[in-house]
Amino acid sequence: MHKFLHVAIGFAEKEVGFEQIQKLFVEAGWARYAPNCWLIHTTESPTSVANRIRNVCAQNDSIFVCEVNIDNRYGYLQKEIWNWLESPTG
Amino acid sequence: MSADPPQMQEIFRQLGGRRVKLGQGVVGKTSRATLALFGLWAIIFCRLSDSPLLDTVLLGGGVICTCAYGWWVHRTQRFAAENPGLALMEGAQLLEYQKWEAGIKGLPALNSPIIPDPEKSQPLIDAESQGA
Repeated sequence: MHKFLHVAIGFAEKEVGFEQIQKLFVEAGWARYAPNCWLIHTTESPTSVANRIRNVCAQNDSIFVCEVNIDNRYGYLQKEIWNWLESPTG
Repeated sequence: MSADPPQMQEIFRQLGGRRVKLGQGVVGKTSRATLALFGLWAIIFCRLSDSPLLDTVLLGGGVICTCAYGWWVHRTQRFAAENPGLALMEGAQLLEYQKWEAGIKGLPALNSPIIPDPEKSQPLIDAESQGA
């Protein structure tokens, strides 16, 4: 079952290119709303996503992935991202 | 009071060795440029001769370089004060920094303005935070 996950990465030293991170979300839809934050729409578990990110990041980078209740939300984002949250599969 | 020659030699040896490390960004680059300017003036003073024309050209060149350096430092210092994050970056890092854009898989980079959630009305008072 698809769900929204929030992915945040704290780069301790050298920042991994975001293209490299996003390549990991092959099966998932994603929206990047901040330099180190993504919302992804996937069937994967937070553990699986975090472990795959860990493989491309440095050992002392912090990685946080959690499931998001997207219905209880508010914020300020681009219109396209709001639209994507409403219909992540297009 | 002055340090004896061996101590001074040790100090200069350390300064001339690898113990002095100039940082990156505006401060580091400016420090290097300042050292280069000192070097330029040292060369100018060493090359002063009996020829007034040559001396004028040398001193004039030095003054022009110093003025240009002062103008550049003033500009970069002002830029650094206004953009401290950018000022610390090298060229490639700056390009990477400027490349940051919000994005969605399969869509081009997003350049639209930031708006509140259109599906929800903006609360005047956040009832949840008030404990209601």
